[in-house]
Amino acid sequence: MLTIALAKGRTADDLWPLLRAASIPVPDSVETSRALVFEVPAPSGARSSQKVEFSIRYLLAKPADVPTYVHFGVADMGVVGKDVLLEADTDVYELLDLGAARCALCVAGPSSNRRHPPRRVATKYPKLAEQYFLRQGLSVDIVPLSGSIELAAVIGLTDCIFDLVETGRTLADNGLQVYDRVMEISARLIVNRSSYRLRRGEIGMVVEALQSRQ
Amino acid sequence: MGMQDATRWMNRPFGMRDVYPQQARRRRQLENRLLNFFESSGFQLVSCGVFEYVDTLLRGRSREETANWVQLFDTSGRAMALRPDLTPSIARMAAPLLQRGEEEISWCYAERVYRRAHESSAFTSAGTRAAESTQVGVEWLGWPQQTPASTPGTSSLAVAVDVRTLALCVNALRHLGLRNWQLVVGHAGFTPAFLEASGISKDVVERMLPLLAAGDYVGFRQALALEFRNAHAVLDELSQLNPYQPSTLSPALRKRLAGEYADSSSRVAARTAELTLDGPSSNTAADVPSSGQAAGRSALDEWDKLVSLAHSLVGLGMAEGIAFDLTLCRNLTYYTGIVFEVFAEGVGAPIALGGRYDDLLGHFASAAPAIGFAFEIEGLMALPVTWEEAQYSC
Repeated sequence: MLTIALAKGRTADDLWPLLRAASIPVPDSVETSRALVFEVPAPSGARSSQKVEFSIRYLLAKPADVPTYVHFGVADMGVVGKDVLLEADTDVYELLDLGAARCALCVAGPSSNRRHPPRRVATKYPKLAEQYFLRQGLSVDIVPLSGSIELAAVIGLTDCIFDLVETGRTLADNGLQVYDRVMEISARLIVNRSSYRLRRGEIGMVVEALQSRQ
Repeated sequence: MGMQDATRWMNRPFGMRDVYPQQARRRRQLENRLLNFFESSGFQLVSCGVFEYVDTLLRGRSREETANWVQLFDTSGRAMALRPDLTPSIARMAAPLLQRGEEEISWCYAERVYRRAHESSAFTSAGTRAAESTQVGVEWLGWPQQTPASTPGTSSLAVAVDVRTLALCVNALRHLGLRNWQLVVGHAGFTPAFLEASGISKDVVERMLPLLAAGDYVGFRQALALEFRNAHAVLDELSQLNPYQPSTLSPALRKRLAGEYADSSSRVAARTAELTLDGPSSNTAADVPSSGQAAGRSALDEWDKLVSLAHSLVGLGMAEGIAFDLTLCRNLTYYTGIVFEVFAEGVGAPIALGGRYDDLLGHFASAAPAIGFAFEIEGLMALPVTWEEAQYSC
């Protein structure tokens, strides 16, 4: 059995169709159930045309925790956005860019602040934000928040925010605009280092199935 | 217990770990078990201080590595660091003995090593990210002098040393009673030479190898794609090479590395499959610089040694536990030949690491070939094995 940790939310939502297209067994109830662990038994004889012939256990975890599950080996593989991997700096193999759950890390704020260099910036990515502003030659105070980052710019806690933008709708609804698209982000397939060595066959099959679909 | 007491107990420096009786006993047992095994295999125990001068540690190594060292100054103002591994210290200690005429030095050690603990890193038990960890290892330096470079005997002696070292590592794993492990071998000379012979310039190769060492295959392919149209092919070719099956280096690939081509049409076909059309000037085989050809020949030379190494491992019945992966790189710049890592189920980081470093002793004014490896004791302790069981079973 192979254990795969998926980042809950958009990454997982985008991934299920991709897994189905790659003929990797997916639980039926996954889009409706609130369970966090799903086990899919190995395909039986009737469906043996499938390449993946072992059982798979899916874990649904908070995105920032996916690299942790994979690092410690309780999950052999994981799927998570590149943003999380860059911020977390963990020791895992990054095998594939799945091209799914695309979005971008952006600097955004109210149009009135656009012309001033920011002094305070709210973000879920303190490390990446600091790197970005250092590259711009700007010294800013980073205010780490864990969710609804837009709020900080709306109520004036910070001049702007450094956050993930998908469609830009949340920004627009809050009267914010993108100042700079810093980095394009997509979902990555990561693998535990010892699983990659000890379970190469099974992992190879999943990787190949996903690659042949791409 | 009041909160006040708790704050008084929380005064342990960042990255340091306390080891309570049961764990401490287990750690000592593991150290002893490995040391006894190495000593019975003819390696002598040595020890040295935890500080080395930064300039000693930097010999044969890139300056970037200092980022992970714990540095401070001695009373005279000279920069020193807590040793990040034992190899430079052993090289420093062995150099005068080798120069004085000792033919061969085989030493073992069990020592603490230090890396800077990063604030963001919460991984201590499963990895090697804690500031202080324990390594038990061996270094084998300056075996009897080799015959001149062009004779076939050279490669067989070099290979015999690699085989003996891998066998020692495998037997140590068996001695520990470990079951589910995999030793993976790469080559610090072959991989860059192969990439260079594929037409990637040397400085680009140097910039890209750390991506492979970090396991960032996506980043590697993307960096390669900036240089090459067919970025997938080079990495795939590299990952499919298997010295157990010499035919995985296809005749076409062999010809490409050797810089010979059967006829001009196949030559163009072979090159255009690999090279990007970078701007208006298209690269063809004629443009490949001669450094690429030298790299190709060195890649072929190393490949033949790897095949002979693989052949010996099969002969020793060790092929099952030892795999080759020529995309495996280590982020230590002093390696020159085979590099290897041992993985065990349940621990994300390698439990043992090693490699060949033939140029390092030269930086200590006593040129000699050398090879070594070390077990990461904290990694072994994270394994889901009852050591008491293992202890009595062998």
